[in-house]
Formats: sequence, structure tokens, C-alpha cells
Amino acid sequence: MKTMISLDSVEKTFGRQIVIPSFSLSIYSGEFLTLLGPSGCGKTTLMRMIAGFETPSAGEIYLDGQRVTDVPPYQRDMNMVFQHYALFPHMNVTDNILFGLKMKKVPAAEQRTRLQQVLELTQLSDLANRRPKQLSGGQQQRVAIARAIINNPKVLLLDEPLGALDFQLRKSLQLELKNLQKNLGITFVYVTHDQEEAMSMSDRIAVMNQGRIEQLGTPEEIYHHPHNRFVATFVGENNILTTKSGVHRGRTFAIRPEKVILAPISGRAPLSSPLPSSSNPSTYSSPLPSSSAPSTHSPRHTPPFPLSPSVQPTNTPPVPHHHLGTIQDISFHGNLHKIFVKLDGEESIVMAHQYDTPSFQPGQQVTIHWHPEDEVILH
Amino acid sequence: MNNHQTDHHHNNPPHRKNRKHPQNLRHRLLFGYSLAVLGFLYLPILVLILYSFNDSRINAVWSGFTGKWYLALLDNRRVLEALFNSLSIAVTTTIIATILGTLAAIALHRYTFRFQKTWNSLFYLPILIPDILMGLSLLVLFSQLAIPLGKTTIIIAHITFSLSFVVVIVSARLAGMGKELEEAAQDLGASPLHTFRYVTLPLISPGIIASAMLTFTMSLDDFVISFFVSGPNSTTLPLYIYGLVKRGVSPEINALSTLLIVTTILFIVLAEFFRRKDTDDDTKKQLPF
Repeated sequence: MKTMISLDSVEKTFGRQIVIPSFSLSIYSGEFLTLLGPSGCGKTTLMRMIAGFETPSAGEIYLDGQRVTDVPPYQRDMNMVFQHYALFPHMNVTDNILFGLKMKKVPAAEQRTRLQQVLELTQLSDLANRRPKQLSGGQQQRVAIARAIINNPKVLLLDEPLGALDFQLRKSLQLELKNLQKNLGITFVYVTHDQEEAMSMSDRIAVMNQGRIEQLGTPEEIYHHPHNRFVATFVGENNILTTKSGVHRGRTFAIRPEKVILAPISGRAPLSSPLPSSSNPSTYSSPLPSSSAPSTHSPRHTPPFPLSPSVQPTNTPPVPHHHLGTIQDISFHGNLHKIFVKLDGEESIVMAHQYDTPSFQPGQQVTIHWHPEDEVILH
Repeated sequence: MNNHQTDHHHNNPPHRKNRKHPQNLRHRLLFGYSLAVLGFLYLPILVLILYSFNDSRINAVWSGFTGKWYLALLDNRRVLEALFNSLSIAVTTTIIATILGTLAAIALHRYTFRFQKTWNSLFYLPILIPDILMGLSLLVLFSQLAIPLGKTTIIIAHITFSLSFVVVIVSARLAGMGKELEEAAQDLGASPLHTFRYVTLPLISPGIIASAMLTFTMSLDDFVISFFVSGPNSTTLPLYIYGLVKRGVSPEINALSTLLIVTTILFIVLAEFFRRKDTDDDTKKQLPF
């Protein structure tokens, strides 16, 4: 695949503060790449360096094979959609959109045909004579996109372009943007802190933290195979657990809440449960970073299982994925219920997603397990 | 009189028990107070305007309506000379101060300096310096440099005190604009010069026009500073009026002052209109000084 943007050991420092330590990334031609990270992780600074508004303190930036590190923004063949749209308030929609072509002295006839195409593409034909103030947020966003893509840039940079819009509009514009990118074949570099938005639109996601890439991969890779704890908890919800004993003692792993399987047991006769885990050597302990379970329901004390590893016969394969627990809380989220289970004899609370109406009650005893292949080992 | 009114008001605390119409009474008191303040502010000006139409030469006696004092002004060579001086000084001051102040505001907006706050304060400080100090210090400066007093020195002095107002007003406009629009223009291929021509200048022009009008008005009205730095043949209207008053207040002075007041009010209203033009509601509320 052809590389469109190449960042080679780019660094950025403001005064004594290092915002981006040596950073390298290749963005392929025609791909939708998202820089995803919490606010202050350096993703906007990185994008501003690509656009030319900031000069890297060290390193080089290449656009389509050309070195552009010191090239001013008005000579870079890329356009940006700003977070707050940055539409010119003293011009109407048409003049806003034509601004780039006028600056490049494109012939008037071509300006008109390209304007018509872009107006249709962004469904703005009826609003061509309005001023930005007379438009809704979604319409302003469309003008900002139209103003950028009319220039046929090699790269379109989008800095949290949907951040200021309400939920419904954001959803529909996400789809529009993705389709636009597919149809135009322009390389999109998208900055957001919204992991759901990143997942639904991107070809590749670069998860960033403190100026570094924590993981670079497709949304599927990022979600199903997070490399480390930061990615595992920043993207989607996760249970982070540590193996406390056994062969893999001290190992941290993640288990997605939708992979956790709960089954009710009779609270009165826990020992009759078919669980082989009664002599389980593996126990888990860790706080749950992606959720905080309210502890209003104190778990009923139940007869403890013999958790001591000493009674474990060495020739029996351990089954570390079965546990007993008490439901602490259930919260309703429309399409799913989140069930918080405190593991018996442990501090850790595991969250499970239940998509059908659960028959569980807070305080109820349950068995909790997952398939070993769903565990993701974190480094 | 004003103080007395204030004290009176404070002696009637609003929570004082009044069984019948406490709300009503309070409103009436406040209304009366407001009227008194307005009268205090504008009555003298109204009287002056009224007597500029008085047929009698003596201010205290009203003997009929006339416009003859205004016509008499047109025949007075010295009045016309002072008017010409004032206008030429005001126009020159306005042009130079507006350009210099706008450039300074843009520099303060665009670049980050060492001691940025100090620079900003240095620009705003002259607004707070008493006119008499400014006039005196400028007079000392001009005599040290052996610059002959006249129109030129008045213009320099007027530019000096107007500059701060221009910087403040244009800076407010630039701050309201932010940096994103200029970046957007550059992103769309506009060179710095084109960015200024097509984005920055149109957006701050209401501020520039407003500060130009304010500068013009202040230059036209200034007495104290002009008094210190004027020379022979550079008598401005306020200086001429002051010279006349020493020989008693005549209806001509009233007419001349009325014209000055009307011009001033007109320009201030226009300046406010332009300053507020196209700004958001929240920036409308902040005063430029």
C-alpha cells in the first residue's frame, strides 16, 4: 500500500514540556485513520503538525513522498475540518466553500461546476446563500466539510468534527462521513476521544496516550486483542484481573463483560453446584478500572469454598475460569443490563453484560465463568 | 446634590416595614432618584442648547426663538479658522492613530512576546493617566526637543492619547475573532497577506471604524492637552471657546458648543454601532474601556 503521510521521529516540546516524544507513523493512501486518545494525549498537536500550524521540534513529515516539515499550511495539499467549524462569518455558504478555489485562482467556470458537485454531495444546495449564523450545527459542519473537500486535497484532517453535535446527529454524520471517504477515496486522518466513533468509522486506529501510540491496528484488533491495560480499558469496557496463584501467578488479563457467563445457583445449597472450581487454585484480585460498582448491597456471606491451593491435586488440570459470586448491582442500559458480581472471598468485582432480561436479583448467588480463549493477556 | 440623593436613598432601607404598598413606594422612590440623576447630568447641556436659540444677548432672559447666533458663527472668521484647525487636527490624528493602533493590536494578538502582559499594560496605561499630566509631560518633551508648538505638536499629542483606545477596541475585536478563522484561511491556501485582506481585516473592520470615530471625537473635544501643546495659529474650537468665556458667556458660545455636542454625540453613537456590529451577545456587554 502506498504511504500518503509519513511521520519520522517527530517530536514536539513546548518550553520544557514534552508533548510528543519521538513519534513515527505511516498513514496509507485512501485509508481512514483515527488518532484516538484522552484529552491532552497529544493527538491534536500531532494533527496540527501534519497540517502545518505547528513545527516539529525534531523529526520530519512527508506528504506523498515530499518533505513538508517546514512548508507553511497554505502550501500543503491537505485540508482540515476544524472542531468549531471555523466558518467565515462575513461570507455566505457559497463564498465560504469557494474560498480555497479563489485563493488558488481556479477559473470561474470550474469553480462553478465544482461548487455544484460539492453542494449536492453535502446536501447544501438550498442553503447556498445563507450566512453561517443562520445554519444549524449539523449544517455548519457540512459547510466545513464541503469547504475542505472542494479543493480535492490529498488528505483531509478532521479534528473532533462531530464533538459539538448532539447524539442523533453525530450518529448520522458518522455514516455520511464514512461514505464520503469511501466515495472520494481521500485519505482521512480523524482525531477523536470517542472510542465508539473511532470503532465505527476507521480502517485503522492509533490509540494514543501521553504522546505515544499504545496500539495501532484495525478496530477489531484493538477491541479483541488489546496489547496493554491502557488500550483494554480505554476502548470499550473491560474486566482487568490478575492471576494470584498457580502457574501463571501475577499475570494480568482482560475479559470483556459480554464474554462473562452467569448462571443462577441455589443459594441454600452451594456445595451441590456442579462447579469443579471448588478446589480452584486460581483466584483473582484487582480493582475494576472501567466501572465502579456501587456497594450498596453487601454480599450475603456464604459458606466459603476450600480455596487453598494445597488441596489441589497436581495431576488434575485446573479449571480457572469458574467462580462463585454474589450480584452486587444491576444497571439498565436499554439494550443490555450490566451486572456487577463480587467474587466470593475476593475483593474484585466482575462486570457482565446480559442482553436478554435477566432473572437475576441483587444479592443473589451465581456461578460466573468464561471461556479460556476469551481471556486477553495484557503486557 | 448627587450625594445627598444617595444618602437619602440609603436612609430608606428596602426592607423597612410599610404596610400599604411597600413595593410601590420603593419603585416611586427609585424612579424619582433616577430622574434626579438624569437631570443632574443633562440639564446643564439642555439649558445651554436652549439658550443658543435665545433672541436676547443676556443668558438669563428668554426673549424669543432665533437661529441668528448660528448664522453669526458662519460670518466669524476666527470661529471658522478654529473649526478648520480642529477638523484638520482630528482627521490627521484619526488616520494615523487608527493605523498605528490597529497594527499594534494585531501584533499583540498574533505574536507571543516576552513580558506580554507588561506590554499590554503599557498600551492601556495612558487611558488612566490624567490629561493634565499628559499635557504637561508632552510640553516638557517638545521644549526639550526644541519642537515649535503648533498644529504638529497638537496632532502628536492627540495621537499619543488616542492610540490606547484604538488598541483596546481593536484588541477586543481580535480576541472575539480567535485564531481559528485565520488558520482556516491559511489551511485553504491563503497566504498571510491574503488571510489579512480577506479574513482578518473584514472581521475587525467594525472595531477599526469604531475606534476611528472615537479618536475623531476625542481629538475634536480635547481641551486640556491641547491647551499645553498649542502654539500661535493653532487655536482649536475648545481653546477658542475657552478664550471667549473669559469675556463672559455669549449666545455665540452656546451655539458653538451645541454644534460640538451634537457632533460628538453623533460620532459616539456611530462608534458604538460599529463596535457592536456582528459581535456575539456576550461581547456586546463588555465596554471597550
